[in-house]
Amino acid sequence: MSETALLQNYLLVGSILFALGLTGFLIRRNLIVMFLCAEMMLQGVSLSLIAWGRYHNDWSGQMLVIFIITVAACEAGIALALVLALCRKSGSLDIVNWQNVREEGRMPYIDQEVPAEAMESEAWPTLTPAGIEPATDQQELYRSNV
Amino acid sequence: MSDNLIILIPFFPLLAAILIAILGPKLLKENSHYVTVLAFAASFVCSLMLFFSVQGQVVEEGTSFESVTTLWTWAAVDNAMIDADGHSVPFLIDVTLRSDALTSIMLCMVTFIATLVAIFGAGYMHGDRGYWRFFAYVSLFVFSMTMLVSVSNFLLLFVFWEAVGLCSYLLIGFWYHKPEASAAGKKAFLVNRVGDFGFALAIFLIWINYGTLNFHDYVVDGQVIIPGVFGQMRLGGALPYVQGGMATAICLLLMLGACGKSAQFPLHVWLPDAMEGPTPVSALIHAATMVTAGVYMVTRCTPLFHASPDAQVTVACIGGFTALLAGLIALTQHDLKRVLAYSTVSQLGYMFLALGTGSLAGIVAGMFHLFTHAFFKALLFLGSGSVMHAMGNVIDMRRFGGLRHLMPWTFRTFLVGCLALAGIFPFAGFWSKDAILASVHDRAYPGAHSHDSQDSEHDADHDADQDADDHATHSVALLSADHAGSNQADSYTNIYVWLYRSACFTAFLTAFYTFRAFFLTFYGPQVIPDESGHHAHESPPMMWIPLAILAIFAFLIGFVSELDHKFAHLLTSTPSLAFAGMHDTMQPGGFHMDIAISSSIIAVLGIALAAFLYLGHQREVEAISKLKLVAPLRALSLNKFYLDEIYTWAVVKPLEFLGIIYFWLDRWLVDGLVNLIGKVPVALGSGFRYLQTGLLPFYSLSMVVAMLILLFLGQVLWGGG
Amino acid sequence: MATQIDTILFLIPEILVVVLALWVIVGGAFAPAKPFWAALSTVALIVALVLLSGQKLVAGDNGPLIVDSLGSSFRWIALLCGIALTLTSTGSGNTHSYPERLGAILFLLVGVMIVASAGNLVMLFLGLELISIPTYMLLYAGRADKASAEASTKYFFLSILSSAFMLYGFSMLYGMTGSGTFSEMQRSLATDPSPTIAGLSLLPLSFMMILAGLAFKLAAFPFHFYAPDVYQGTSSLAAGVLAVTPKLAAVVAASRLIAVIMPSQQGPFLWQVLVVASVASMTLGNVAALWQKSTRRLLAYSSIAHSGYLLIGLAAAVAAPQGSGQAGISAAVLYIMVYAAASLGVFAVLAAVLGDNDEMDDVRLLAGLGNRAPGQAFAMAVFMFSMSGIPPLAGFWGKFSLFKSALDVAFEGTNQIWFVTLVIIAALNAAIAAGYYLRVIAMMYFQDSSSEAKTTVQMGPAVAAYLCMLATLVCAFPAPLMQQADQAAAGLVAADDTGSTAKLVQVAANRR
Repeated sequence: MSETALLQNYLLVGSILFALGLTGFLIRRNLIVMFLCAEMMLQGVSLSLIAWGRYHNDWSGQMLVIFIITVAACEAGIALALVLALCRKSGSLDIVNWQNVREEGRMPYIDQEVPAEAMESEAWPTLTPAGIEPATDQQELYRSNV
Repeated sequence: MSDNLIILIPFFPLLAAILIAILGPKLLKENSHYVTVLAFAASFVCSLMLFFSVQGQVVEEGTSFESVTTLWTWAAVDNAMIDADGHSVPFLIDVTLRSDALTSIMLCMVTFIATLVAIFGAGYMHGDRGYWRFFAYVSLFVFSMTMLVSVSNFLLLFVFWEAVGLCSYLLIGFWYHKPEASAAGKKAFLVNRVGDFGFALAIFLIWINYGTLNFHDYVVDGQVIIPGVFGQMRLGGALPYVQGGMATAICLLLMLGACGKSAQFPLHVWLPDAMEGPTPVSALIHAATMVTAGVYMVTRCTPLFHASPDAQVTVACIGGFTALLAGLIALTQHDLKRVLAYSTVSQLGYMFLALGTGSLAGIVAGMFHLFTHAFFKALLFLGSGSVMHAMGNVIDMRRFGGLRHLMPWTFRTFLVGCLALAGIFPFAGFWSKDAILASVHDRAYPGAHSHDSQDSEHDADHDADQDADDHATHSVALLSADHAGSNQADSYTNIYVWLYRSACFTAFLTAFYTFRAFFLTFYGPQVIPDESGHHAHESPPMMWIPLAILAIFAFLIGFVSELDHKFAHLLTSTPSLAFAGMHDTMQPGGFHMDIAISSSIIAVLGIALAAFLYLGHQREVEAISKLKLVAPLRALSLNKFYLDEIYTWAVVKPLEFLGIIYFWLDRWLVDGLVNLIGKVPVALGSGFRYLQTGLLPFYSLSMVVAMLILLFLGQVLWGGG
Repeated sequence: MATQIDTILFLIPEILVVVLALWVIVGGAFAPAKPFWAALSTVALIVALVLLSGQKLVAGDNGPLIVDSLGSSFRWIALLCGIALTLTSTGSGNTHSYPERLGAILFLLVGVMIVASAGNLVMLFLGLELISIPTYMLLYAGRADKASAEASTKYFFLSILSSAFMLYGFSMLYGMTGSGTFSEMQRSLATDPSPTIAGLSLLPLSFMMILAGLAFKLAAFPFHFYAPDVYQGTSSLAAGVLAVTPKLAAVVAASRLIAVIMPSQQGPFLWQVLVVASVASMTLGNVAALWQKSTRRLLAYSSIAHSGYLLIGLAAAVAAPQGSGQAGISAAVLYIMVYAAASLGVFAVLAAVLGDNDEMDDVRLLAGLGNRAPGQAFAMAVFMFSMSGIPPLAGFWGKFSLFKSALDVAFEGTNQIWFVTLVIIAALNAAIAAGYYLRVIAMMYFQDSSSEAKTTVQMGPAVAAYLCMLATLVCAFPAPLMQQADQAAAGLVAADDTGSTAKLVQVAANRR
């Protein structure tokens, strides 16, 4: 395989990674997944850079990649801290929860509402409580929402 | 010396105005009048010193004297105009003050009256909420007025012409909460606009025709660079004055300006309404000083008027007609101040009549009347102010009467004023009115008087010839123009005959209405309106002492000035009056015994008739006014010949109608368009706002789509091309 | 070849500020005393300024750095902005997180300074990230409530998206030239101006992507979406940071990219894109600002509009005939300087009069400020007048030189209709902008506030506002500033006609 063909293959994989990341970034609503998709875009870029570096027989591409990875790690740190803070405030990882700051008078985007199932007033058997009710970890309940 | 004086005279009032404007509301308050009175007194002292200095120099230097002081250059444009000869003319406006006889006389008169009025005003305005504002305005007015009479340039004259108009407006509307007062202020301002418009046009014409607006020659190193309109070059005959139609146009436009400011027909309607202002203001501005600015201006422009006999006869006619008209209106007015206001209009008409004779005697007589009139009319107005003060601001003569015992000082001084106005020997009005009648008479019947003035005329002719010899440049054209002018003027003699008759009749009217007002106010049973309350007593000394001073002057000033023809001699040394062309006309100084006697008889007759009708019961008046013949005439006079109504229907209503149309056009068409244009960005904005959903996925999608479009276009248009 | 010692010596101001930032963050954990840290960093920034002014600009190869007067101008601006921001920071946000925020600001400044003198892709990338990462933190930390969390999230995600674009652009740029150094890239592109791979032109791809990244930093259309939400949601201080520092970096990076790397004689596409983006940004920013009730949101739209103005200069620089692009860059540099002064000033005033109440930013809160805080209101009025370009204030001269550069291009070449239209639209926009700027002034001076009490004015931000006002007023005499901007731009393009080898700046320009 010639160098050019190899380069093209690498670049193709890189661009696919980039495109996948981009698509994921656009279509996913989970904050963490969105961030991971952005990371995937960066990986695509890194792969391209390395491919070009190999092609040109030059190490500055690789050098840039190292810095990209480093910076991405920093960003991951920030991102996770941020996501944690967001999650604490809204109790959810959905990005659509964060549309309160917008142009005045603009209606918020609301998901298709799932109609609440008609609750029939079922008559539950009333039993005499037996034994001890298990202790509920409130924290655990909270987490399960996430 | 006189340089400093001429600067100090307007400086003091300006300083006072600024000080009061800054410190008045918080610091000076009820003490504001001290600043004003002090400043005016200082100005008056300076004016007197200037006057004597000028008088001394006139004696030294002979016939014509002026001295100019240039403060700074206000505007300077090179090559502002190419004149008829192809020379480029610079437009140069220096702030230049001049001192000559005319200016110094005016300055003395203005500052003297202003000082007394300020003292009176301190008493009259006592307790008013706008006390400091009053004195600030009055100070500003006196500054403007002193500047008006001392500037040496048409443009600056116009500036201060407007400035006194502004002060007048401010002071007429002083009690602006009162609708009549603010309406009167507006009326004065708008009517004056008409006149000012004419004045401005006249200034444009003067600039085009003379290439300068300066009165004096612009001299650098003894070399005349720009000959002034009334500079020695032109007055000496080295340069001609514009003749013919253009001269008439300039003069008529100037006269239009003078009509506005000096309340001459047809622009006199504002002055009676201006009586809404505080009475000291009426005395100072609307009787003694500002309204005479037109007379001053026409006197200053004598050489221009001299070039146009048509304009002179127009001035005379306007003056004579206004005098008669205002006299007739004054006959029936009930309002004391209105009577005096119409009397002022009438007397100003007299002055213009005298100026319109075009003779030196007439002009001096007009200025002389201006001078004496200032004293006794200020006196009368302040007297009426004193009455008004005592009567609780009631000024309708039907509602009070018989005040002579209640207000002895006001009564006495008012009597002096009335006698002066009626023209009774030896009061001031007698001398000046006689001089006017004499000059008009001489103009109407040339050669009728062949006594003492004949010699002096010969002398004058002789002088003129000598001057002509001295000035090698004395042009033939000027002589022939003079000659032609005098020939043409002769055809107007008939008009002057009628003017003389009407002036005599007006003198009768003057005496009659003056004493009608006097008798109604001070004689008869004592009637006091309810409004007066505890005020119904003699005014405090602060108010009657200025009255007394003015009364002394109203008594003496005519006699003293006429003594040895001092006034005439001094005044004729003014450059505008002391020029070759003027020497050909009749010299002042003739005292005509026959005219004096006949006018005195007329005046006494007027007083007698007034006494007959208005002393005691007024049965005769009622009887007369019920006559079928008289009633409509009386209504005509009472309603001021319906002039206000005519103006309302002929001018105001059509303009209002146009105004309404334009308002609607502006409101709906123009504003509509502008608002529509203004709405476009806002509408655009609402569109863009729609994109700000607050949704992060939407934002990122937008960015990515934009990115993809850019990449695609980049490939096609940049890379592929 | 300069030694590494030279490079390190050159970076001493940056190193000083980094050390300071670390000290503030670490030390602040133990002694969170606001005045102390603010005073310390102000002093240190002044020291850095002194060090910076002591530097001689040595021509030649400086390793990963470019030493020229453009870079030095922007380092100056960064440090001066740093002083203003440090003073402003004392009036904003809670005390316990103050050292972190101050440290973040200091790191940001270093980022701007590094971008200003970056000579290769790594430095440029690191500089830009050094601006972004502290910004994420700053956006959140000032208020730490739901709105600021939202602001931070939006900025963070969109920023990494744009970073990814820009990096992809970098990778292609690197791929085309085989080097990460600007000078090498320029040399390589000069020999082969339109490299392709698999039928795709790489130059447009990489330039479009890099410009997209920079447009995001500028908040220019269509990458402006984050700005209104983020400004509104965050604190006054963070909004001030966001309004100025990324733009400084973007302008200097774009200038280098256009003037140094881009091969000459490209088609009209690039500047046409810039012109369209410019028109769209300024129009959108201004018309949308007319509707705003929130002060910071209004200012966000205003900053979008100003980005549009900055793009005029860049477009003129791209479209200018060979070797005469410096006029546009010079105008853009001048404009960003006066914009930075006014913008920082506005946010300093907001911080001064609103204090910790960052969630309260209704324009109506400014009502009666002319009575309640006359000094601050006057400063605000000056900034508003300057931003709307009323002569003779600084903003007018900025707009003036931008319009002039565009018109120069219009009358030199064949692109008349584009640039004349651009200038006309820009002038119309200035009129629209006056609508909302003057509304703020009218609000301050002609509306009565509900409370008559005197506003307590925070001292630090107030001083910052006065400094900015001083700068804005001094710039009413713009000659020295224009000279500086001209010099900065001239250094960039001067080498253009000397040929391929020395496009990099050779001017050992004097300091100001």
